[in-house]
Amino acid sequence: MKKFNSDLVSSLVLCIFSIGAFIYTLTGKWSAGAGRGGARLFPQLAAAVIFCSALMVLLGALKRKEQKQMRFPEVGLMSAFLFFGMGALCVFLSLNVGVVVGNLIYLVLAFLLLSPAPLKEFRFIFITAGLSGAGFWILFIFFANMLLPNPILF
Amino acid sequence: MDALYEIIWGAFSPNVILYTTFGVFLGITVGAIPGLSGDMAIALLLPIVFKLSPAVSIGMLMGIYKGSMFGGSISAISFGVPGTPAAIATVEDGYPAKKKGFPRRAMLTALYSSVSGDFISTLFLIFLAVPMGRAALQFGPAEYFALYVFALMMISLLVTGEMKKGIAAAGVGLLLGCIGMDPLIGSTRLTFGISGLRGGIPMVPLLVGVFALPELMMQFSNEWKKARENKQDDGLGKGQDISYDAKNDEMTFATYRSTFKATLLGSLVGTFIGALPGAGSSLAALMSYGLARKMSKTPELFGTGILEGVAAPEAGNSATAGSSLIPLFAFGIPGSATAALIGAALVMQGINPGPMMIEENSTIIYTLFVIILYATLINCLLSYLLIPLYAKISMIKPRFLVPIVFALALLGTYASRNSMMDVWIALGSGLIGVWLRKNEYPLAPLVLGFVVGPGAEKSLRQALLMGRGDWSILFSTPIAVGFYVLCAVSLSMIWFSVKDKIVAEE
Repeated sequence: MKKFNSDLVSSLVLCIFSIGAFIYTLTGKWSAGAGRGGARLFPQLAAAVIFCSALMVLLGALKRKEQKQMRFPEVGLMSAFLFFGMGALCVFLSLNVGVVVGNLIYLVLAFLLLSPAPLKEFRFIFITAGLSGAGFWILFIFFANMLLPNPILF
Repeated sequence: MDALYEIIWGAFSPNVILYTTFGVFLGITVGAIPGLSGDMAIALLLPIVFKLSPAVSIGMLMGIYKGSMFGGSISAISFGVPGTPAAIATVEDGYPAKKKGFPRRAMLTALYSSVSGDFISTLFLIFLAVPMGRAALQFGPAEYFALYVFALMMISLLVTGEMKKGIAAAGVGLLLGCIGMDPLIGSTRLTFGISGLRGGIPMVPLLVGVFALPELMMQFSNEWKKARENKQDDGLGKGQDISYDAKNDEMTFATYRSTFKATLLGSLVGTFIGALPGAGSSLAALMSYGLARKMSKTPELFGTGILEGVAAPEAGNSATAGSSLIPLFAFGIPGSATAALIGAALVMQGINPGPMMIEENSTIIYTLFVIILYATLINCLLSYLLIPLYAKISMIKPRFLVPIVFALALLGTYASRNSMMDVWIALGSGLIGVWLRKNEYPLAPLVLGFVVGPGAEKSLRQALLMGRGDWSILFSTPIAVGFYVLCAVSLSMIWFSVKDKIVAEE
C-alpha cells in the first residue's frame, strides 16, 4: 500500500474546507443583519482560524523528513462500513420492528460478527442479547417514553 | 425557632428523603449512559412536579442533577465515552487509568472529588448567592468574549499533541456552532437547505458522535480483527479480565490526599465558572483539567491515567451544580440549562426566581438549601455502593460491551428529541471524529469550540454593536485585557518550553 504523509493530507483537507467555508459565507443567502460583519463575521473568523492553523500544520509536515502515518491502522474502510452499517441497522430495527426484538436481532448479529467462536457461544450470545433488549425497553420505553413510529412488534 | 423547626421538619421528612434518593439513583443511571443526560431526565419529570410539594419535587430534581454529574464519569472511565458533556475531560485520564488496571480507584477519585466540588459549591450558594450574583453581572460582552477566547486558547494549548492541531480543531468546533440560527438576529445560516439544521446542531448527538463513536469504532475494529484472525479469548466473555488485580486497585487515604490540590482547584474553578450564566459544566471541567495540569508537579503524566487528571475535572463539573443556581436564586438568570429547568420547576410551584425570592419564600428556600446539602451526601453513599457494580461492568469483554453501548448511545440520541436527524448527526459526527483521531487532532477543543461558539459570537457582536464597529472595545476593560494577557503569557510560556525541547532534540 502506498504510504503518504497523514499530516500533509489532513492539513490540505482542512485548508480546502476552510476556504470553501469562507467562500460560502460570502455567497450564502442569509441576511447578515446589523453591526460589523453581521451574521457572516463569526463563521468567517472560524474559517480563518482553521485555515491559519491547518497551514501551519501543512508547513510543519513539509519540513518534516519522515513520513507520518495515520494512527489506528486496524480502522479501515471495511470496518467503518460495518460499524456504521450496524448502527444504522440497530436504529432501523428498533424503530420499525420494536425495541426488544429489533435490538435482539442487532445484538445477535453484532456479537456473532465479533466472536472468534460464534457457534460455541451462540446460546450465551442469544441470552445476553435478549436480556439487553429487555433492558433497553425498560430504559427507553418505560422510563424515557421514547416515541416510536408504529413498530411491528415490541 | 419555629422557622428553624419548620425547615428541619420539611427537609428531613421521609417523603423528601425518599424522592431525593430516587432522584440521585436515576441521575447516576442516566448520567452513566451515553446519549442520556440529567437534563433529559429532569425535563421528562417536570410534568409530575405539579403533583408534588416544592421540597419533594426540587429535592428529586436536584438529586438527578447531582447524580448525573458523577454518573457521567462512570461511562467516561469504564468505556472512554463521556456519559454527559460535563465528563469530557474525565475521559482524558479516567479511561487510561481503567486500562492500566485501576478502574475502582479512578471511580472513587471521581466520586470523592465530585462530591467535594459539589459540597464546596453548595456552601458558596448558601452563603454567597447575592454577592456572587452581583460580581457575575459585572461581566459585559467584552469580558465574556475575552473569557471565551482564553478558555479556547488554554484548552487548545494544553491538550496532548500539537498545539496547532488543537487550534484547528477548536476552529472546526466554532464553525459547527455557527450552523443554524444566528444568536442575535435569528437568521438561519450554513444549513444547506436542510430544515432539520435550522435549530443548529444539537449538542447531545454531536458529543455522542465525536466522543463516543470513534472510541467504540476503534474497539469494534480491534475486536473484528481478532475475530477474523480467530484469536480465542478466555472465559467466553463471562467477566473478570485475568490481568485485573482487585488488591492493587484499592483506594487509600494517601492516594486520596494526592488529589486534594486538584480537587480544590477544580472546585474553585467550577464554582466561579458555574456562577457565570451560560458558561456551563463542560467549560468548567475542561478549564479545571487544563489548570490542574499546568499547576501539577508532573504535567507530563496527564493523559496517561493520573488521578489528578480525574479529580480536577470531576470537581470542576460538579462544582457548577450549586453555583449555577446562584444567578438563578439571586437574579432569576439561570447559570445553565439545568438551572433553567430547576427555575421552571420553581415557577410551577409558585416561587418566582429573582432578588425577592429568598425574602418572600425564606422557609422553603432554606429548606431547599438543606436538601441540596444532604443530597450531596446521599449521592456519595449511593454512588459508593453502586461503584463495584459499575467497576465489574467495565471488565466485561469489549466485544459484548461495544455493541450494547453503541445501541444505547444511538437510542439515547434518538430518545432525547425523538428525532432521526439527531441519529444521522451522531453518525456523521462519528465519521468526522474517527478521521480526526486517526490524524491526531484532539477532540476536546472541537467540543469546547462548539459549546462556547454561540456565546462567544453573541458577546463579540454585542460588544461591536456597543462600540459601533470599533474593535478596540474588546480591549477597553481591565478584566478583558487581563484575560488576553493571560492568553499571551500562556502561549509564550508553552512556546518557549516546546522550543527548548526542539532545540535540545536537534
